[in-house]
Amino acid sequence: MVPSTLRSKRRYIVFQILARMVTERQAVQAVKQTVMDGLGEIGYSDSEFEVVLFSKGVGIARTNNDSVSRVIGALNFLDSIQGKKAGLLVIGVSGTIRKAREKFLNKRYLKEILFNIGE
Amino acid sequence: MRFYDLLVFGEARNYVEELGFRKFDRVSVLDPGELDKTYDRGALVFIKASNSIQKNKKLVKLPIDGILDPVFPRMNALDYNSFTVLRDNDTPIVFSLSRFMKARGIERARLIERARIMVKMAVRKHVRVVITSGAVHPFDLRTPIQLVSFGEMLGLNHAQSERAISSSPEYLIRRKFNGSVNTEE
Repeated sequence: MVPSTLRSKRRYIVFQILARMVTERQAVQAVKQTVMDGLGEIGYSDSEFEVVLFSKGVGIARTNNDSVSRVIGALNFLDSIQGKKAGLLVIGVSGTIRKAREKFLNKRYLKEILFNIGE
Repeated sequence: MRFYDLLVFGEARNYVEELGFRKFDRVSVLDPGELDKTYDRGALVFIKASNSIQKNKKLVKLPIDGILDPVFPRMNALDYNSFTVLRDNDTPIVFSLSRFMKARGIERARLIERARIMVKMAVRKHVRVVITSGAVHPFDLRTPIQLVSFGEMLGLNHAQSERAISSSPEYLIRRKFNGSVNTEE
């Protein structure tokens, strides 16, 4: 186990995927690939990025404290999933996964637009 | 804090408020050669930067409300003297996220690199920077958190980046309309 003094502080980014007719697996893969494209392999490993939860179009990604801004900057560039038009909205950032769930997980933007992730 | 996403077009306009921005859609975007054509003079007028540095030197002297996207992959759109003129005229530079989203790979990297140089000079010369999404489709819209991160990616610090989507656009609106436009919630 890594001592707590050597562990980096974590941040949880709650995001919403805007897309039509894509599966959850495809959406998560696209999110990871977008961050990889934005930060490069070294930046990706530095950021300790991981999608920890994804359901019904909303997900929680984990990263470290120093990389939050860069990761969100990279996520801005998600514009397609499997060749279909898509978008990503960052709903909020939290220090613990519990707070992230409580504060943001039920929040949805652009409710009027139909999108059906996870067939 | 009140946030503005000044450049949003088409269907995306309907959803701006839902994302936490104030609604404001009186903006005209012109190509460099269109200034003598008819346009809404009662709106904020942003003019797209030209890919010729000589043309841009003339553009910065015009009485407009902003220079839009002064970034090109293989050249600096504005030189240091142009920023002096921009500061004297109190004209901001405006970056739209959509300009960067259209590019891919190395070209996008080059764009970010050039934009960082522009931002560095703007900060040094105290020229205002405004950040917008430039969204046409609702899927292109971004939240205030994301636009602030985009500003930080371009080299602004967090406070400057927040100003680029809040007080700077608000200043432009108030200057143009002398407080007459209702931007209240």
